Amino acid sequence: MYFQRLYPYVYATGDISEWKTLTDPDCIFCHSVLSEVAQLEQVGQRMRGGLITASDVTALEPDPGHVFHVTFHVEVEPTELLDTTGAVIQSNPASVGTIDTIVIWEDGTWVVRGVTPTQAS
Amino acid sequence: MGSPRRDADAGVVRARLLVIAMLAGILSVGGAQTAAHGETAKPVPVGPTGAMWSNLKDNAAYLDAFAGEQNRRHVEAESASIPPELKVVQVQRALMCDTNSAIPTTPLNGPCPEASGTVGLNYCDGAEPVLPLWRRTRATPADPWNPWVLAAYGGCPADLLPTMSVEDFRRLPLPAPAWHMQPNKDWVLVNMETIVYSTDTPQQLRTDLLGYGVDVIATPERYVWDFGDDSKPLSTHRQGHPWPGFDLFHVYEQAGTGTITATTIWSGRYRVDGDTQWHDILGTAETTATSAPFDIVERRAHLVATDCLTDPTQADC
Repeated sequence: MYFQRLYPYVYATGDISEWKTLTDPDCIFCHSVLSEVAQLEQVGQRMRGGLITASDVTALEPDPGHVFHVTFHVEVEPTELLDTTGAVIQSNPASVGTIDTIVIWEDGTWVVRGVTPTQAS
Repeated sequence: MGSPRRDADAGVVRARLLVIAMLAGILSVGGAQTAAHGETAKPVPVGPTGAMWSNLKDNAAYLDAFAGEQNRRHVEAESASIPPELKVVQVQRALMCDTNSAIPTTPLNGPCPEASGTVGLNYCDGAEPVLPLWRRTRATPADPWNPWVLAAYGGCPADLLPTMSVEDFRRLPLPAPAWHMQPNKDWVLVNMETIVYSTDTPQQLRTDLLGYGVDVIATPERYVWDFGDDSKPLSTHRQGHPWPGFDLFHVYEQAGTGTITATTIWSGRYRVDGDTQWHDILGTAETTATSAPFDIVERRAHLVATDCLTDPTQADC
């Protein structure tokens, strides 16, 4: 859940320190977020909104005590891309879908290993 | 060490293209004094969207299936010597009942409730799907078993096999570049072409990954020659040819001493025992080799009466 709260925070602030701590280097989704945020930083843009509400959480343990597969339904608030002056240059409407997250518990810490967001059609 | 397979969805394909494009961008350099023709990297359009649906994505289903299979193998290996009546954990693959219940169940727990859900089998491109994995436990051998609980969703046979990462690939004993220079002597000439070419060939290797045997084919994809002066390295897909049909060369402008460092960039494909398909490795490996030092010398032409090979004692030979 914290991970999903962190997602809009990273886009809004460009602060990636916590995101990097929480994610596995092999996580493709996690890395793509870092790339996009770096691009935003480069051109001075920010993303606003996009808060995520999660529900219907289910969890499996493919590898008990080590690998967890957490699935939840999410509602994502609209997002706006802002330029350096704060003007809106792109808007994304609210959306819903499911997120499959593979989380690993290793050496006393949680790490996100993989994320599969699937938008509801 | 290997990692779960992740090369079968569109997001990963995009990731792979991105990696290839990034590598192309890094390696596409050339110098005014160094010749190879026509390879440039195109910029990769990646636009920030902030709508998470458009981010590159992992394949959680594969990660789930792989982790489940690893645990199944581990549990079965650990408990192989334990009599059934003393076991406290069991794993088994079985169908999932077709129900919308919040808690999935299986016929292992008794007859399924009336079908009301949308449970379906995975489509595996002709291969037999792997059933979901169920686990049951009991506190001690004297206690009754708890119900079977869904541990992993199953998938396709290939999902259960390990993936060879680029780090695994780079640990393999790939050969040093096989390359040649002309003149093949301890000297080359200022302001004349110093020719380079590669004779690297695809390599077949055999390795082990998480207990699985793996065949690997490494293919030379790109060659980089650093001529050790101020010029940019020559980077090309071509292997080059020896004189007189040469196409890769460098012209030294200053006399002195030089070395040439050759780098071969290898792509890789692998096939895990039990899988019929070859898979691309996401990323490349490099090997390098540096020539012995050579002199870069100036030579002047002189008119002589007879061929120097015929009479090397004459003046100016």
